[in-house]
Amino acid sequence: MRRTYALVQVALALMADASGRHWGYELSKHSGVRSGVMYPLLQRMLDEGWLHDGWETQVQVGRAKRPPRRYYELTDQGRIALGALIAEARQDARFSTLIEGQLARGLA
Amino acid sequence: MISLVYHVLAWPTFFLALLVFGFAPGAALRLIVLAYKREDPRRHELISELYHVPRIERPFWVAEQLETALSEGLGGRLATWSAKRLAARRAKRPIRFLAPVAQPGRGRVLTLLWSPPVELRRADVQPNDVLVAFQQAVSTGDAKPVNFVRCSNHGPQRAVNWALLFLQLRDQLTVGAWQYADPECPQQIAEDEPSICLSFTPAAKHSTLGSSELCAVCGSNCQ
Repeated sequence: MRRTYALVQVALALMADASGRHWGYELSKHSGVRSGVMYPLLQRMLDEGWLHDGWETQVQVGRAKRPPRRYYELTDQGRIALGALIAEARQDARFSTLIEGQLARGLA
Repeated sequence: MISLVYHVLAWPTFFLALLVFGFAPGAALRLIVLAYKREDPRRHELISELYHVPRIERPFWVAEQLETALSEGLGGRLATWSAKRLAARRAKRPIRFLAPVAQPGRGRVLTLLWSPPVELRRADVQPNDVLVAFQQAVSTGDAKPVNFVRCSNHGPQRAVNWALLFLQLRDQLTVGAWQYADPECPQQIAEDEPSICLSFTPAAKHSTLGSSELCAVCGSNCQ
């Protein structure tokens, strides 16, 4: 996958909690990537096998009057790939301000 | 042009947008996600995510989804539609399978199979048999009727929907490998029938027949 600014941003947000579940809207907020860009990016990551997705169960939804949400989790392959991507991005001057900003927020 | 910009930015347009995306974002989103294919999980995902977007942000968030749905959803549908159309057009066209010919001769049997049967044993294949196995890869579905067109001196002969064809060849053919090619078959095949014209092209290093393409039946270049 081509290393873009949005990809690095999403990678940083995903790797901030590498073993946790991620939700579309929260991920968009944490990464700072517009949802119009992020969902296609997540789909490409799913296609690459870096993520796997699932849906909340009715138990998890509880009594809330809302449909179950879709979540994303990093696979082992994804953790390796995104780790390598972030490591490469650290060496790249294009992403230096992004990485520094994320470091300041404690995401990287 | 200026008047167009004026109309786009006019107050009624602005209020309409505010009404649609601001007061009924759920309904607007439900319409927007229809751009995605029926089986696309994004349809349900976006609707469920809307409940977690703060109300103040919903109009903008829904507007963003409209942008993505137009590019991805409609784009995807358009790509699928054009692929289906292309497949349908290709299915109407005759297909030609090419295989290298090693030795000319007579009395060989060509076995044409839709796909290699599991129970086919090596012993079932006679020394002089030529086995050509292929799977229909041009269109989806196994039950698609396909005509097999034999060219002979007596005109084209057709065998429709035969799972197994034994053709008595006038010339001895040995097929080492075959490959798929997609040129127009020049045989007399009706345009509206999906057809297969089986022809053989001699392999340059084995063949003694030259480089012309040969008919499966008559063994010569009857085209």
